[in-house]
Amino acid sequence: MSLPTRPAVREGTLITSAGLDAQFDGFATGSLDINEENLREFAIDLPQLPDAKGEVGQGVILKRAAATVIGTGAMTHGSPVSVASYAGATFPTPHPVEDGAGNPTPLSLGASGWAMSAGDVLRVYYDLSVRPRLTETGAGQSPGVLAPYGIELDVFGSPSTTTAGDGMFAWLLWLQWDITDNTLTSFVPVPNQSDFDQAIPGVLGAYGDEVPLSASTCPVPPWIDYDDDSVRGQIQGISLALPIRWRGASGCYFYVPVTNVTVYGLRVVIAGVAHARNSGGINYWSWAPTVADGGDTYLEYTSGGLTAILHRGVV
Amino acid sequence: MKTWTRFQARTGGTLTPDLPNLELSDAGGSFTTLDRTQLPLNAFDKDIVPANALVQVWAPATLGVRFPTVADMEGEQVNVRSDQVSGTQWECGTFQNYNGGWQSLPTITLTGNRGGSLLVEWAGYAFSWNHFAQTTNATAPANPKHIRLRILVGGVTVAEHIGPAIMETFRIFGHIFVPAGDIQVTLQWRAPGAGPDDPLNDVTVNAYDLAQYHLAGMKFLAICRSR
Repeated sequence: MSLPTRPAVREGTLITSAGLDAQFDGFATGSLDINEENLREFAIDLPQLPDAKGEVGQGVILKRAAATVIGTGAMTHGSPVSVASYAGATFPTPHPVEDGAGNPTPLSLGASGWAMSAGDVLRVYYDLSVRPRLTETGAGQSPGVLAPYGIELDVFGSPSTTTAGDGMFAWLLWLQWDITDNTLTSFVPVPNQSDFDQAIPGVLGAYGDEVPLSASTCPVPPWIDYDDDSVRGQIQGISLALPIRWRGASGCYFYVPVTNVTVYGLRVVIAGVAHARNSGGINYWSWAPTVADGGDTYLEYTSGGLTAILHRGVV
Repeated sequence: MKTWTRFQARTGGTLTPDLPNLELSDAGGSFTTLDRTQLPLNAFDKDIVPANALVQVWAPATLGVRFPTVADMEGEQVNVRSDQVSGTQWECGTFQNYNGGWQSLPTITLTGNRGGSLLVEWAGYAFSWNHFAQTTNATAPANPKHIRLRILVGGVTVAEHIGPAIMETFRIFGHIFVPAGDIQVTLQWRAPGAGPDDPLNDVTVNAYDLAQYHLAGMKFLAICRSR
């Protein structure tokens, strides 16, 4: 800050050499900061900035940036990695995205990691080429009708009802980070993100976690429920499941540290199939193991990207 | 380029109390701010340029990390939320509680904005029940259930997106030059209405409304390159 910090000299004030010096000392700045008070709009651009000094560019705005290919790295879909849908009684161990040979493909942020402090913002973006599989489809009815899911609708021209899929199933992709060391063996969910490993209050036997704890989550529908014969609110046939082909799944995450934290790596993990729930006025993601249905439901993926940038300037 | 408008006090000049005032007021006035023509090459680095000198970021932390920030609903849309749905669905928008039109998330004020090039980024994921997107009486055209999204800055639409459907993520960002001063950002969504053959209720107990639309996992970021 370099604005005058002393009151103006008033007429009639006794002039002394010390007082005069003090007035001009008021201009001195402790930090020599060039800040918003003494720079005109658009005063600084590339000519005024020197070469990189250990951080991206000059570190004036952007401090760090890193990116990596995740998954197999293949541009084709010939040899995808397969993730089985969870069929257990509690919650799945998420599958870290890997290269197809069992080697995880996290984004390493270097031996020293990225030191983040207040005023910084971390932005992470990821994408992955995925293919939800549902091998029993064709003549099959939508797995979305499996109890306890689905909704009951009238059948056209009949007093009977039938169950329709509600479209609220999803494979879940989310972010974990390692803030322990660069061995990248201590991944935990990023803040405001859950591994969905909690018992859901008020729903016996249901596991998952709150929707508010899905800040980095990317849901991918395992199939698409549809019925193109419905008439005036009534279904003529049955609720069908339309298989989904290869598609790009993507997600992002922002984080502003409230205390200093060093992040050494990031990775994308996958688990499924989850379904919506609500309990006590809170929305949840809840694992739906009945959907596994003999291994007919799984997720294939090949490659994608994981990018992180760290910049400053948070007001 | 700015030039001095007052000569400096010279040795031997007559010193009056007002003379230092004049010198100080010139130096302290806004006209002394530096512009590019006065700044030498390679003059700055991160050590002498504070974080907010060139850029302002309104990030999720200042807005609750997730946005909106309503307790137990962080990151979820909160303006259209029905509790009349089945326990295996989300409390969210239904045909009974959503009458159409643009719905606004809580207004965001970019406090202390110094003006400049503003980028607004909004991301999350959405559910939109697509089961009856194409039915007997909705074929030409069909009724795809995309949730439209748009960003308004100071009431001006800066980005609009056909939006997500079924169950998928979205990311939308817009850019605009803004003047200095606090400015408001509004994030809005708009879902399509029921088609001619969409059911409105679960008939088993005829009490459940059907979950149709929801937005969740949302976060928000605004970056203003002001200097």
